[in-house]
Amino acid sequence: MFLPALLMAAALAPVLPLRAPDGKPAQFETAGRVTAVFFISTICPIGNDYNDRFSALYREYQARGVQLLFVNSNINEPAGMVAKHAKDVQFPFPVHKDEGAVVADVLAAESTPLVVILGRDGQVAYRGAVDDARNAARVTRHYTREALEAVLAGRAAPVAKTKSFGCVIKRPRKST
Amino acid sequence: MKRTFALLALFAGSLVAADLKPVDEAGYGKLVAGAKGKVVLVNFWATYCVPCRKEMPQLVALEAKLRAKGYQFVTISADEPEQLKDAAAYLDKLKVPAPVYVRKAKDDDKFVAAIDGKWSGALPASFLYDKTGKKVRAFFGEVKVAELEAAILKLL
Repeated sequence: MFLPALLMAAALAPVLPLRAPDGKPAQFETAGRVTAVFFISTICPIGNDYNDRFSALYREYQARGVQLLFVNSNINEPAGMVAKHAKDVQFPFPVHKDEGAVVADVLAAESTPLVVILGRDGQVAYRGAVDDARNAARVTRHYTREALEAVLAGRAAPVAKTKSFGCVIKRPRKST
Repeated sequence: MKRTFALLALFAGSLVAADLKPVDEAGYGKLVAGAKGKVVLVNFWATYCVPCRKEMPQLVALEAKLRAKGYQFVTISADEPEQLKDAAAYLDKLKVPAPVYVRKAKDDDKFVAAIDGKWSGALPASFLYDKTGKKVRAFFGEVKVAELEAAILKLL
C-alpha cells in the first residue's frame, strides 16, 4: 500500500504495514479492535528503562484482547539489532520493523518511547508517553493503562495526548 | 602560605562542577525575559541523547564566536536526578558556558507544551529568541550550524 493510500486510510482505520522479525511483511488491521502501537528503540536509554513496563502491559492487555504492536522505526537500527535487543531483554513479544518509518508517519510518532492507542473505530484515542515518569518509582499517572481501560470500556481516554522527553525517531532522508 | 592557599582555591575552583539550576515552566519564561536585549538560543539536551552530544561542541564553538555580538547560549538538560552528576561533568568537559539548567517540572507534559506547542519532547530541540524575547525559530532534532548561525546573524 502506498503512503497516500495509507494516509487516507488513517482517517478511518489504518492497516499498519510492518516487517516481522523474520523479515516477512506483516500487515495489521486495526478496524474493530483496540490497538496499542508502541514506538521503541534498542538504544534509547529512556525506552530501555521501560522494558519491564512494556512486557507487563503486553502480558496484561494482550490477554484482554488488545492488539499490542511494538515497532522500531529508526533507520539506524537494522532488523538484526532489533531482534538481538528483543532477545537480550527477553521481550515476550516480537518487535516489528517499520521500514521507511511509514507507520511512524501515519501515526505522527516523533520520538521513542511513545504509544499510540487506536479505538475500535480506528481513531486515535491516545498519543503520548507510556506514563509520567522514566523512573518507575516516581510514576503517578499511568497514561497507557488509563487510556486502555477507558477505550475497552467504550469511553474516551481521560487524557488524549501527552508530551514527554524522548529520543527522536531517525527517519530516512526524504528527497526534495 | 598565602600563595599555597591561593593555589588551593584555584585548584578547588577548577573542580567545581557546572551548576545546573532547576527550571520549570515559570522559570523558563523568566529566563527568556531576563535575556532581553540579546539573541538567545535555548538548547534542550540530555546525556543519553547521542545527537545532542554530537551537536553540543559546535553550539559551544558558535557561542564563543558570537558572544561579543550579543548572542547568548542557554542549555537545559532533560536528565533525571540520577544523571545530574554525569550531566555536570559533561558540561564541564565541553566548557559549556553558563547559564546551564536542568528541567525540574512537576509535569513534563505541561513543561514541553509550554515551551512550544509543536514540540513532541524529542531531543535535541533548540529555540531561538530575538532581542525582544520573541521566539522566532524552533529546531527539532540536530541543528544545522551554518543555518543556525545565519538565523542568529540576521537577528543580531
